[in-house]
Amino acid sequence: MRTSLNNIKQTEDYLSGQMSAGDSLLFKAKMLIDPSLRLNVVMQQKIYLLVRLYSRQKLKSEIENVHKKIFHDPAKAAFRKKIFKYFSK
Amino acid sequence: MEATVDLIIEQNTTTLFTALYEKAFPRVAAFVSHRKGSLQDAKDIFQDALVIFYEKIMTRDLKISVSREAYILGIAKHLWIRKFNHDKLNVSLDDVEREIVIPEDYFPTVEQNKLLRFLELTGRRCLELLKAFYYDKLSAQDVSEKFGYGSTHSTTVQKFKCLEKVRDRVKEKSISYEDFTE
Repeated sequence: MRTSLNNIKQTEDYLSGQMSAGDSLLFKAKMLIDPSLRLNVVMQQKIYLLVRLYSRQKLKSEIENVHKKIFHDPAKAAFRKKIFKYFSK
Repeated sequence: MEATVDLIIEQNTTTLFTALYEKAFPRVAAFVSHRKGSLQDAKDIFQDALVIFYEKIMTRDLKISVSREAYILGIAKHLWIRKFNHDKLNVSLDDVEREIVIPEDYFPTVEQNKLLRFLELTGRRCLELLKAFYYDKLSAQDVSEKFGYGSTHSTTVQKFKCLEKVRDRVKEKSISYEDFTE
């Protein structure tokens, strides 16, 4: 892998706690003297969060499809009736 | 909960969510209607509860002594309290429910939503690949099959390429938004 990708892999190992204590110390030292590495680590952390948020959106749309199906399926009429009853007052 | 993870992989999420809808939604609907919430409130809270439940299963940090329905209702109660804070004192939580933690980063900020929309416009494939690895916790083997890569090695390389690509895009965007996080 090219250097930039290796840095990404190292950052992942560091952030996920998969680095040995020695390597982790070394990585921290590198961050101290290299502001661009420091920035990349912060950014990569941000990307993991964004991926999680993206995935949640996708999962929610999958769940919404299930909702639509259940609320349109003739076989689920009794279930719907039960739900609507809670909100009929 | 190992069995549940295997169950999800074996069946698929649609089957799981359909089953949970039928079993757990009535309990959440009863809770919300009792607190004078609408059907829409019940739906929103329930769907978020399912997402959070799914995440807890996938990270394998879920050891529950109650049924899945009861646990999902517990998550829903927390979400309800969060949404309607004034109702806090009226919602009673039992011991199991009190232990439930909603992820702090669950609700995206305006800035995060902006970034997400931007990333989706510039390419979904990398996002999908990263989702498969980090969210759905698929193995490199499963991801290579799903995305049609020749080997697990090239799939892993692709994962790092995608991280780099998305990172650089967010970097650019963050500079233009002038909201650097550091």
